[in-house]
Amino acid sequence: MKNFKGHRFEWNPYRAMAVFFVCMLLIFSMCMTILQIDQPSVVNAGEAFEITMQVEVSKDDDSGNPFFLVVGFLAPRSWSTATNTSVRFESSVGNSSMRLTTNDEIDENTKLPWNTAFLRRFGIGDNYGEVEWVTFIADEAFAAAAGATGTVYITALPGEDNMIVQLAYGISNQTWGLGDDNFDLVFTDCMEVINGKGYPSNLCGPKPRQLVEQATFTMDDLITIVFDAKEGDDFMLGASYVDLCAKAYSGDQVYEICNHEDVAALNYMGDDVWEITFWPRSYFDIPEDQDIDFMEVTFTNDNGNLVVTNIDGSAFIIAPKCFD
Amino acid sequence: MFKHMKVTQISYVIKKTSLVCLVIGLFLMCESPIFIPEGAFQEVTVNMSGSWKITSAYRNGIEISDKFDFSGFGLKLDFDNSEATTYQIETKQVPFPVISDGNWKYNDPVYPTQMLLLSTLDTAIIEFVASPISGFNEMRIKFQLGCSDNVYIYDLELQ
Repeated sequence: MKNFKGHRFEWNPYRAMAVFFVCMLLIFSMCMTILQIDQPSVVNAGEAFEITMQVEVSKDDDSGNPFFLVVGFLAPRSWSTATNTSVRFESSVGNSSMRLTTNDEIDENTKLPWNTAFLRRFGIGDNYGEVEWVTFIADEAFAAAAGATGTVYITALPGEDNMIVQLAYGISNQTWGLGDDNFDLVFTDCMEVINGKGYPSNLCGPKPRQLVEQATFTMDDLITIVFDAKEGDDFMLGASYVDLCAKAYSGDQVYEICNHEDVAALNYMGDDVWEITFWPRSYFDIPEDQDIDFMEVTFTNDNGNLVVTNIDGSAFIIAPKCFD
Repeated sequence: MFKHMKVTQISYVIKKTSLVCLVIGLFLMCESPIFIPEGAFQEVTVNMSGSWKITSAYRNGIEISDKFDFSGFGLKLDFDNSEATTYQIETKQVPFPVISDGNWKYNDPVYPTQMLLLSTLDTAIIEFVASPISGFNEMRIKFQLGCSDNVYIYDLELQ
């Protein structure tokens, strides 16, 4: 049984039997395996870190011809992995640097460019989005007729934002592509990026409900919060009144406006959609020398007995989202 | 002197003398003085002084005048000896790139395209959508508040 950090393994006898028979059929074909991945569980924002991946090529039964190793790396889009990551490997049959795959280099199995092939074939794991597969190919080809072992070194650079994300790693080769046993894939445990900017966005969690109308904003913008009673818990359908209960966090200070009918009532826009537009600074009466880090909001009816929150009962987080 | 000259020669001398006289006459005519009013070429600073109120507001090209109460906003621009000086914001409840009073100036006093607002806490650049002209009682300004993706336009009217 493989055992490495972050690999999810659940015993399933039917799956084991299926794997056994498939392995029997393919025992004479090339087999690429990720033996172990060493990846930190916490990294600092904007600070490069190294991941090592132990790889085994069991047998190149087909011809013994040299092949180009392909490595896939799933990482947040905000990391700009294509420009900020370097990959190389050392192995028992030779060492090589690796470069980004081009759109002309395709997976022989899916006939798609490598990064698209990884995405289609393996998805994005527990992340709700905002991640991308970036694929690298060896600069030099090596034959491994008698099998080989090696270590892939990935030096990644996290972005400046705090977050929680699930990374993933895949290996394959240009000759055979993502078919049979010619590849392996590992989704590691969700890792944290700390000491960066802003409230950490949890890409591993459920996709946050989009409440702010603008795609990007900071707490200095005029913000429009849209509450669609048809989404999620729908017990506010047909409501005659919806009130915003909001907290603004500014360093150690917390400013709260709740049950405040004059300013916190949402305007009905029709079709069970409500909205409110406010400027956080004036709404919460924040002193001129302070800034808002993020907000927590819930929605209530006029009696206050119905409260719309996240599924787990927590308030919705509204954190700045801006790529300036 | 014309005694020994042929008729054609005499005609030539007369023509040439007449031409010289004409040229001298034209020069003398050009010397008549041209009157230029005093200060006609002096550049004048655009005067935008006064209290300005918001008449309409847009965010990313969409009118938001009805989504938020902009009526309390007032921007008072002072002018001293035709020089831009201080500004005051009447209410700080309405979104604006600066939140405290301070000084202001144009990027170009004669052909301004931007207004620079400087306070102890903030500095902001506000663009004129169309260059303002002295005597006009309306102006359209463009600015950002937080994320650069969001562009705000206010139509202001002089009170």
